[in-house]
Amino acid sequence: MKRLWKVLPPCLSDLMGFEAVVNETEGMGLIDDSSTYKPLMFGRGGHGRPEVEGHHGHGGGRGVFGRLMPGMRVLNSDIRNEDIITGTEKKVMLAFDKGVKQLSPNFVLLAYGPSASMIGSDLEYAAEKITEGSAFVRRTSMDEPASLRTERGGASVQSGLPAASVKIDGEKDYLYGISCTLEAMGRLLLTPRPTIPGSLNILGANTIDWAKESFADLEALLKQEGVQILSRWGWKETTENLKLASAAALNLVVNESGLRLARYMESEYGIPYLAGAPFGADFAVTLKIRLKEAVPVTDTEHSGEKQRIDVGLSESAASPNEDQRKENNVDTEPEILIVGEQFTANAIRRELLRRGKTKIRVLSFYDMDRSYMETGDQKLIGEDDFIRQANAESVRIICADGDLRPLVKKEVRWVQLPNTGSMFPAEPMEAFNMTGGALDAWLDREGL
Amino acid sequence: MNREKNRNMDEGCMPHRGGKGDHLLEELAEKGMLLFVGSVNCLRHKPYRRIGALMREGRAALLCPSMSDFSSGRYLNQIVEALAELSREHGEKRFVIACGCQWVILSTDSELLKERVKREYDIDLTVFEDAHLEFGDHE
Repeated sequence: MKRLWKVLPPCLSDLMGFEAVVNETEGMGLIDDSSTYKPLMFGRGGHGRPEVEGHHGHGGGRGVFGRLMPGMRVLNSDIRNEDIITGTEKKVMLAFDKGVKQLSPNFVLLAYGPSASMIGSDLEYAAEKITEGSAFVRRTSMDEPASLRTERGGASVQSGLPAASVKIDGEKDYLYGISCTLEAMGRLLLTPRPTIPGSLNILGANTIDWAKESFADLEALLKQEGVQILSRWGWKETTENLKLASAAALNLVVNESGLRLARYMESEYGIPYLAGAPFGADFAVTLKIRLKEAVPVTDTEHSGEKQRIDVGLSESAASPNEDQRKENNVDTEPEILIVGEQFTANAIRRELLRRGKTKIRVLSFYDMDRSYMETGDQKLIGEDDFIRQANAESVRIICADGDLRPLVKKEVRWVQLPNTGSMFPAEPMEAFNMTGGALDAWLDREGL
Repeated sequence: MNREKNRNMDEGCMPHRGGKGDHLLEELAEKGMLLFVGSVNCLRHKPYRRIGALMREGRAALLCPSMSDFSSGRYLNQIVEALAELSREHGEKRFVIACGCQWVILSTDSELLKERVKREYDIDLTVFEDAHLEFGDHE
């Protein structure tokens, strides 16, 4: 039945995606929830599983003397039973005060824990209160840091920090959480700016799905092309750079989680976007060509208006063997299923098509975007969906997390993919470098 | 001791306390097949760190109703349906439910549920009604 998970361990939640994003910024995240959010284990190979080994007891886990753990920029409101009746606003403000003193953030994002969502906590109002405080603070002590202002004022509403709420509540997957958090950051931080020719933003490269080497190689590839990277959304970045993003000539969306923000920036600031993971040598060449077409935007210095470019770099457009594929009788070909983050899976499919494989479908338990799905692709709602797909007669090869294997009751070749989005995998597999030719090298090693 | 504690802090994790939470899930699973009912986010708590292993052993499952399932009361039927399916597949008649905060906030009538699954499927159900927002699942 839907929503019943019997074999596959839980994935990271949307709030963990929120945490993964906020921890890489100079902002602060506040989740209206009863218990502490612990560091995701990025230190262990860029891995995103939550740290569950250590905990400091009731409502604790904040480190020594109530301080946040190293690397954490997300705290919780510590709500209790009585707050279910009286509301959580007071606790949110108290937690905000505490967080501002420790972190001196440039902006604040609020999110709902499941319990806060159940009782209908009003975080939009809390965000308004935090933001509205700025008028009063600016009249009194404009140049002081937020932490000082809060101490003097004694109340959180005097912070004057830009703040917004993110409508996630722990129910959905981490990619959805990353996606909504990035969009909320964009709406909060961006204002119109004149375009800087030859510049771009990288959207969606996040520390859960992406290996450090992958990101370093992508930056190197873009710099080789003479492209100026203005900001990185999802990766380590300063607020100053994030604010510059609306001046970019182009957005490069490298993970499904960057699409919401890309669409917002396209509609609000007219910035076109290229979408697709830059994995595979062949695609790296395509990307360079498309960059040359797209980045030198001609309309620049005035009015913040940008020339809209129909880049059209859809996954299907980038499939080099599309014609050959149509000529073949695909119904008789053994089928390959790729199960994972949509853009990564699409990139693997693209390379396999180039290598002459013809019948490949992408499935995912995580957030998927219809525009980047091909015929037969499917967002999996539950284990039953996967069982039906994977046990079909035609399926011969499955590229997926090994924890799905018990659900397949037939002989197939299994190619293990990284399972960084899984909370408790049987065999953890870290994200590895796929940028450019690294994907080809991996496929060679796997004999695909 | 303090040095050890500081070392752990430097590594970004708190010292291991070995509290009730370490064994809670195992203890519950001894009483029957475990069904967690709540948001996937709740599984980040320490007592659930063995949930993946228990699932692989066929001793646990997760039911993650949506917020609208909870607010409409649909989750009660989903629980019954899930228990029936698991009972059929595993030949199990003893189940333990561990729950997220929604259960408590909605004042779920556990006794009524127990009576229903006993009557309809001859299932003996234990509900671990953790004071979710106070203590227990976080310890």
